[in-house]
Amino acid sequence: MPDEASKSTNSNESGKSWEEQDPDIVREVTIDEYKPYGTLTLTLIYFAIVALMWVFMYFVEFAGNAPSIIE
Amino acid sequence: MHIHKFEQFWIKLSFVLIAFFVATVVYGFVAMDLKVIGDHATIDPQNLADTKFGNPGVREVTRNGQTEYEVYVQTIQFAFNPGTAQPIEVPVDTRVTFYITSPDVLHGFDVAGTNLNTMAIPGQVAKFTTIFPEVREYGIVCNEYCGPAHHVMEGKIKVVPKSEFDKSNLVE
Repeated sequence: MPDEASKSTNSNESGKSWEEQDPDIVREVTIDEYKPYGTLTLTLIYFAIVALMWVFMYFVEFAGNAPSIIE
Repeated sequence: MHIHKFEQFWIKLSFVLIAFFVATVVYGFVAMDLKVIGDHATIDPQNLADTKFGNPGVREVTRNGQTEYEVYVQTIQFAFNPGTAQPIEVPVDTRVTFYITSPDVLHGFDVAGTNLNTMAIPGQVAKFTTIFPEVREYGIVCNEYCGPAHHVMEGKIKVVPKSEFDKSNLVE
């Protein structure tokens, strides 16, 4: 998307595309075009592990550890 | 401030997780009827001799027409009395109420591998009721550091069949 990307060119260097300004940049995207699905996946896996371990710890290791205090 | 929508999502998810933790604890105490040690009574730790703790052991009581047992335990440096010198013997499938206090320093009374676990605080009486569901021996350990021999402070609870329960060891 060179046309769209060149809009973000720095104003004091107008005329030069961002590729010319910094050849290391392969493609520039806006913050909302950036979609870190890998990070999202890892985060969801992490949340799932925490939730499952909580359920195990609370309902199995704690509540299932009879005899318990009944009064 | 602009926050990326993925980031907004997992920030919200964190709050959902906290709400879930709180909800499970509330469920445990409301629906599953879990109990914790409450605030039972205070006592003068210098004068336990004048109380039931002066003659600690297992007592038989009748409550609501049912035979139940009360166990008075002193935790001392570095033993449970009773528990260490002789095991606390109680019958299976019977309500047993423990009263625990300490004349010297802070101790723990943890029936290993169960949810029976309380602090023994000088001046406070810890009380809890339980029913032992099976015939077996349980270990008691002190889980609050109480001095140089804390690590050897242990005792036993012997749960016996009702028919084998020896009432001659009961205290008055």
